[in-house]
Amino acid sequence: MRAGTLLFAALSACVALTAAYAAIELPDGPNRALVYGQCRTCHDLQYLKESAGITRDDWDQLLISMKQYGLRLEPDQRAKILDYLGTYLGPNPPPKTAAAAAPAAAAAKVDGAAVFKDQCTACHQENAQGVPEQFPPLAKNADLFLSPDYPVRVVLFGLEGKIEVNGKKFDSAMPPLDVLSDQEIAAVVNYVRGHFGNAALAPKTMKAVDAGLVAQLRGKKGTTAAHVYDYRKKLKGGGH
Amino acid sequence: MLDRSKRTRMNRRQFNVLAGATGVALGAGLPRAVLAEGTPDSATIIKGKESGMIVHNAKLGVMETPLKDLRKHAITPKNILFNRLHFPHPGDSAWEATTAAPSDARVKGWTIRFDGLVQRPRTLTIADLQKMGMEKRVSVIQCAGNGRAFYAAEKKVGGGQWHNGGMGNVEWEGVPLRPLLDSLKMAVSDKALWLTAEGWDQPATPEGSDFAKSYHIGDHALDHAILALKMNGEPIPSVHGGPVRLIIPGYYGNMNVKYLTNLLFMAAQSPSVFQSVGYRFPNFPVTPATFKANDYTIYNSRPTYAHVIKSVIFSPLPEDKPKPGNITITGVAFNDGNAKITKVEVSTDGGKTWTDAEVKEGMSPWAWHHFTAKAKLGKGKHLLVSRATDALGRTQPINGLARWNPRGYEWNGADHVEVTV
Repeated sequence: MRAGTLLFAALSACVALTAAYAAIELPDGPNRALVYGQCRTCHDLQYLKESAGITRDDWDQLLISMKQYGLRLEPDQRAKILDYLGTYLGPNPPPKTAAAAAPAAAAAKVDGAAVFKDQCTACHQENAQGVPEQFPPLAKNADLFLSPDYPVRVVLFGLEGKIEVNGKKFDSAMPPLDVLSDQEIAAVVNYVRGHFGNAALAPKTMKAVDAGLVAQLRGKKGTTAAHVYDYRKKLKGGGH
Repeated sequence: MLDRSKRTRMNRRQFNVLAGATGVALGAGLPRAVLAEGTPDSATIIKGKESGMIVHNAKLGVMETPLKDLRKHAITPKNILFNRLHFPHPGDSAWEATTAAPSDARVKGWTIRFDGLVQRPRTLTIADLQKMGMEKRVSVIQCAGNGRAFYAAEKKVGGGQWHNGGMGNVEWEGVPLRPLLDSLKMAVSDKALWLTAEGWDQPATPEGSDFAKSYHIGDHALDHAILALKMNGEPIPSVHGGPVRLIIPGYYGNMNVKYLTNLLFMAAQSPSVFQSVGYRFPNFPVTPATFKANDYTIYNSRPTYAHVIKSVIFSPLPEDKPKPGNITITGVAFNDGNAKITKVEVSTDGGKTWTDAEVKEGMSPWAWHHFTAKAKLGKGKHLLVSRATDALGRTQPINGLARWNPRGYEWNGADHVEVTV
């Protein structure tokens, strides 16, 4: 093995060791993605899975508790999450086949700002400024343009490990958001690249991403947050 | 009146169901059943933990010990000790996912602030503490949610579904709290009624509540408390609260604040959600219909302070598949350390008949006490039960569901394990 390959292998192993989030799937149903986007800021979905079977009223109580522990939801988001939890993780969840009709809704026009609100703000905050030492800012973040598809990979597969953004260090675990559709991922990447002071940082030659690119990357089975970390490192010329 | 009798009948019926056909769910079995698909192995979540621990939340490093491992050790080693943290660990602002000690740099820069209603606030470093006289305390450390899964027989409670493995028998070593506070000569105000301990780990969101615990200044449990620097003879592992953890022997895990950074003399208890709403137990018996998870106030409930008396059967476990004939039933019993454990009774017929087990005194009043009983089992299913009693007459409810509470704390029902011979 060449030294470079060895280093790559060692690095991957090192990153894999801190695989701190669980790739837990909840039953498919409307607004599941919103649950994924909001609940994983503080804990894995395993708490939800282990709690499955409690009543809608108990989920309502849990959402009150979670607000006390720092969860911030708009009223419409809260209602949607409660609907999902009370139905799909309630005492009598519908049989699996009943939820399969969902993809039809994905054909509707996707709003990047709405996806951002549901999927990104719980960690990166509404103003995209992030949280010091915890979550990196997306605002004025030149890394969004490291390559045409870099942010798509981050959203699809997650990112985990020590990184530096605008001179500040972060060491957190972003879970994969592959539960989002190709359209949604393309829309949110384009939205973030075009807002929060990022538009001015965009290289002239870099085009908006489309759903086709997302689909193509999604097809690369076995890609992990560790691979994205390595890709980022390569794009940054060995730094992080 | 009618409601009450109805409820009693329901409990009775549910208990019979639980003690009968599904009795195994009550006991020590099913460790693998709670493993969710997609959850990484414990050894990859926290470096130094054994593979195969029962993971409740990877992101928070929450895991319990399979009883087949827990029973092997008089003192629970760090590689299998249960773990529970409240905040994820991004960046330099929280726990390192390892059973190794915190880094030298972290230890060197560590300070503990003694402040609040005092005339002379103080700050100590780890080096300062290391120069002081240390004492050892062997104590059970137990998650207040240990056994939460068993409450499901009345009504399932949300949260990590702990069985019996959220506990361990651990030797701590550190500086005794009260003499230390006296020696600092802070001139504490008469208005200070509470001592609040705060940890250094921080919530993931700006709106989250910081972790803090408050104790009455006169609490006798504090007489035995130490600012612990060592666990089982070595620096406290990062995930278990190193470099310094407040250890109050006989108190539930959450009361033993990890990563201690502040001890504050206060007129009132901390407004932290972890003190004022979370980790509390109602002051009176409640039912799912009468008391919800957010009905807790500081007036109708108390923090989960001291271990209620408890016993856990370690052997035989369902997976031991005992052969017909003479068997030995073993396990541990413990309480808050305020009275001797005087008796552990064991039953092999679901509680119809009982025999006294032999109880070996623990390493300290707060440590677990091993019990042993001989029994003869024929072919078939047997429901083993254990129940501890102490010198104050405190004992375990035969039906632990009598203490059902909406957040699922302090399970101490007589332990039930169904084995098939």
